[in-house]
Amino acid sequence: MAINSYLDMLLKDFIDGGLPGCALQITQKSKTIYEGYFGYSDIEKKIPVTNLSVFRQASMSKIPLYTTLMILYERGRFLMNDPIYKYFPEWKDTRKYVKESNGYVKAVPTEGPITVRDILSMKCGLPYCHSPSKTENHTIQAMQACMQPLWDKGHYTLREHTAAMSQGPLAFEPGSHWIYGFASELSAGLIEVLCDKPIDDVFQELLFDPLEMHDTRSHYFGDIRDRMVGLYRKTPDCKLEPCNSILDAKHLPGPENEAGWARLFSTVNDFSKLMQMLANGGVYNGVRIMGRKTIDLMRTNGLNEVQQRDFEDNYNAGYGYGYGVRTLTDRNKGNHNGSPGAFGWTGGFGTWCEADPAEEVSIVYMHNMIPNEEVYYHLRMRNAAYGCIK
Amino acid sequence: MSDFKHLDQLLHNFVEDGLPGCSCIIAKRGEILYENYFGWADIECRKPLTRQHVFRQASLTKIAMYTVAIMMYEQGRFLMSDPLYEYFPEWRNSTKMVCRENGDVDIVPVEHPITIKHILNMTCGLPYDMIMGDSPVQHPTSHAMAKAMAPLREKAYYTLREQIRVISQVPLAFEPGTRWLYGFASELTAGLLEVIGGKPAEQVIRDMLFEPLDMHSSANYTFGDIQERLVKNYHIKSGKKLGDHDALMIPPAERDAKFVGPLGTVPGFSRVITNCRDYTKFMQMLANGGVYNGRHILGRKTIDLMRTNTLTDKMIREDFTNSYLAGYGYGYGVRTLMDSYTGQHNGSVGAFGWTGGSGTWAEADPSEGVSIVYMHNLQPNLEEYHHLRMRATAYGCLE
Repeated sequence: MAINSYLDMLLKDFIDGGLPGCALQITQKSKTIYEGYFGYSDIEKKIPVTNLSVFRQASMSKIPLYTTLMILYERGRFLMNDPIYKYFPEWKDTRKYVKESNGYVKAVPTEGPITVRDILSMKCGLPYCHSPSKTENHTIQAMQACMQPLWDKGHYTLREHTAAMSQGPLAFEPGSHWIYGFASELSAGLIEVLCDKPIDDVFQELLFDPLEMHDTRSHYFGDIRDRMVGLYRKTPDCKLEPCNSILDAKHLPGPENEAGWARLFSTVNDFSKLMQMLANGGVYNGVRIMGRKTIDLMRTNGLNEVQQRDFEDNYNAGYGYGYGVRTLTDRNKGNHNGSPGAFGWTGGFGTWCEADPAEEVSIVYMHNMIPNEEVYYHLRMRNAAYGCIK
Repeated sequence: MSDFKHLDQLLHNFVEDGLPGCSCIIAKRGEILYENYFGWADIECRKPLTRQHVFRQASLTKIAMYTVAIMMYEQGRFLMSDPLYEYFPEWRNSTKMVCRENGDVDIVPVEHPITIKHILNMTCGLPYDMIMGDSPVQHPTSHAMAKAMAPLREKAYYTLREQIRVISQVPLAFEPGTRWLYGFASELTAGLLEVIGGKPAEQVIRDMLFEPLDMHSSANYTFGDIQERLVKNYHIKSGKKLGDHDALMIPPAERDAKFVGPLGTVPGFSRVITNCRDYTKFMQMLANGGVYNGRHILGRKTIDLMRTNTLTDKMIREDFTNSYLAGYGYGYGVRTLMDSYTGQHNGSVGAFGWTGGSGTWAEADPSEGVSIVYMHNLQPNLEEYHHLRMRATAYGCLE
């Protein structure tokens, strides 16, 4: 049996086990070595997932985001040491929460400002805050207070979003810990300030046009809406119910749908072009997109021991974190059969990607389901995918 | 094919934003990949900067000087563990300052003498006694040095040996080898070249390095038409910013003459004058295992030692960390990249080089066989803005 058949079997088992649909592309040195599509884009109408199926990328949008910033870095447009208030003046006087010995929590000025390095490596001290739902976390409570006027308004620009959040105290001294979250909005905002145009235009110019990623954007165009796979929610009794409508509103064109930085949709074919460029020293189809040495910096682990503990869980085991990406540092710990220095990220709706420069391999996997059950699906698929590399 | 359009754009912008002129050469395995010149050598006389022009190197001299020292090391001319007093007898009884809790300073004998290693890795405990960058050095040892130097400075000219002799009486800032402190170790090293080489350090460097490397526009002193080819020594007027109207001035010629002149006219040890073409030959040799044009200059393994970090974590944390040096440790006379994340550095670990206070910068990356040499002359040199951007873009352009 061809080794790829194990991959086919695994992905088919995913569908038989209750996943609506999934897609996987493995590419090495610009050649597709595996491409498979399984299950349904629309279960009721029996529309199969194909190479044309478009998936919501959620946080996997961070790969284009941080790649773009590394391109701007290597063009000398900013220094990692720059305080972010140089670009967002309202972030000049940042405060943080400290816990006193009697248990009280108070906000005090930070010792140093948030730097660009802190927002590129998730060390600025702000988690995500997506809703006003009750929380015991002081930082999130403060973020909710900052956000309430924007939520009341209903729609808001990225610039309004970053400005509003400047008033909340951080969870810790910038640079001292790793915490996933709002650093991505500040990073997106930084791109807009540096380039003086909407982030979507910058993506288009620096990445999507030169990489011929014609199906990757944040707002619907052409037949994209019809090609979007269904977003299914898995109920506690393991049934799938559709839940597209509310979450997809941000992909509708029009300022009334704006809510900060809009995430992308894409296909495995499109995303493989981006990940191949990152796996092949910054070149796509003979066109240089960015420098090999800059990609090496992007995938250099920047976590100290304390931050490693903040970052690591069962899913991220074996990885460190560089500039906007996880990067494999310990195969044993990660039970990971890829190469050290392989790097990528995950989307909250179930997408996953990794570039392995040592093998010039990229792996791009997509499904859309809530919850995404990433530990189950991604880690199995990863093992089987790297197992196929000759 | 490497594409250098973003580097061209960046350096063009430097000049548009007020830098008088700058040049950069990137070379790999003996071949120049990129070479360009921007702006002016002389703004008033509308002389564009070209490959003919030469720049004041200030401390970029250190790479050449320490390379010569390390060549002598591999020739068995000294051991790193040799006490300095074997070469300068007046350094036999060094003292150091010890600060009491109440702030009083005691002057006590050192436990162990300064060794050659300490002068090669800047841990001998002596700063400079003069102005660094914008401001005078504020250090008790520095004040003591200035006092010791006063009689010499009153004379128009003094030799390096005279300078070394008067400084031998100054109490060190700490026990030798325990901390990193930029400064007078460089004069002591120049003195060592002079004692071992049996001629002025400036000539030793020329004979051992610049001659065999065909660096015909390089020397620590003016010769031939070098003076005419020297770019103007622009300073930013106080209260002005680069890019402001009428921001630049040129200090009086007699001030420049204290640093640049014919052999035997500049007091102490004088610094190198060179250009990107010449220094690229030198940095290429360091990036490519010690060989230039098929000629063996220095051993590959010795270069590896030169770029091995010699500082403890504590010394790096307390004495060798600022936003400009972040990510580097310090070897023998050179910084060496240890942590690319902290350094926001897209070169390779083990890349090494240094900076000149007048605005020049050089790095060799042996794992790529690459050298990057960048030059401008400006006071203050605004190194963090220009060098770190140029470095990111230069490494970003490599295939």
